[in-house]
Amino acid sequence: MLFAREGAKVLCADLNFEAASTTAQTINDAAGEDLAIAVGVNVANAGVT
Amino acid sequence: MFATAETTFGKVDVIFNNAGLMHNSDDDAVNTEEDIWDLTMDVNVKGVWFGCKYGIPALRRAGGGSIINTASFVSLRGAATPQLAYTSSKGAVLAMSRELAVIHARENIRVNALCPGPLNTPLLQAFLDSEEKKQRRLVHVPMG
Repeated sequence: MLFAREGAKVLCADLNFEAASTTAQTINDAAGEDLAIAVGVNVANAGVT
Repeated sequence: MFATAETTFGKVDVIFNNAGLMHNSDDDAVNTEEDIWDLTMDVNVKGVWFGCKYGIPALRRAGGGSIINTASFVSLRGAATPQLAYTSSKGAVLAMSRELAVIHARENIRVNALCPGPLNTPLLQAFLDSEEKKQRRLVHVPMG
């Protein structure tokens, strides 16, 4: 969220997709535009992109 | 993940490898189980490496950028509460970050590691689930 506040576009990647989506939605609601998207990803598994 | 970022936003400028875990069964050298060790290393160390392995090509395509890896103060000091796998994994993150910084400096890719102290978050409160553990951890905080 700090990145977005500085004007960055943010891809929120988390094992918990729901949590990442919530963060992305919070960013977009605050910004009033679509700055963030979310993906579900397991960082320990290269097969999950 | 990086393909999604590049497709959606055009390019990748910053990678923040922040995902990590500290398992409730993480303990000292004698009592930590091998599966806990392996899980911790998989997420905390291999996860950061994967973020770099697949992210650095995207940063190259962008002409450079910044990688931020979350290590920990335990990388430098060790912890007063036994959590050997976590401490070892964060030591690896700090060492990895230093080498990455040297190797990729001339590609205009900056690499930094964060070494935060204990932060009073719901996640840490769940880990320090007894008054004794909390007090033991507070020895790391000069102002208590």
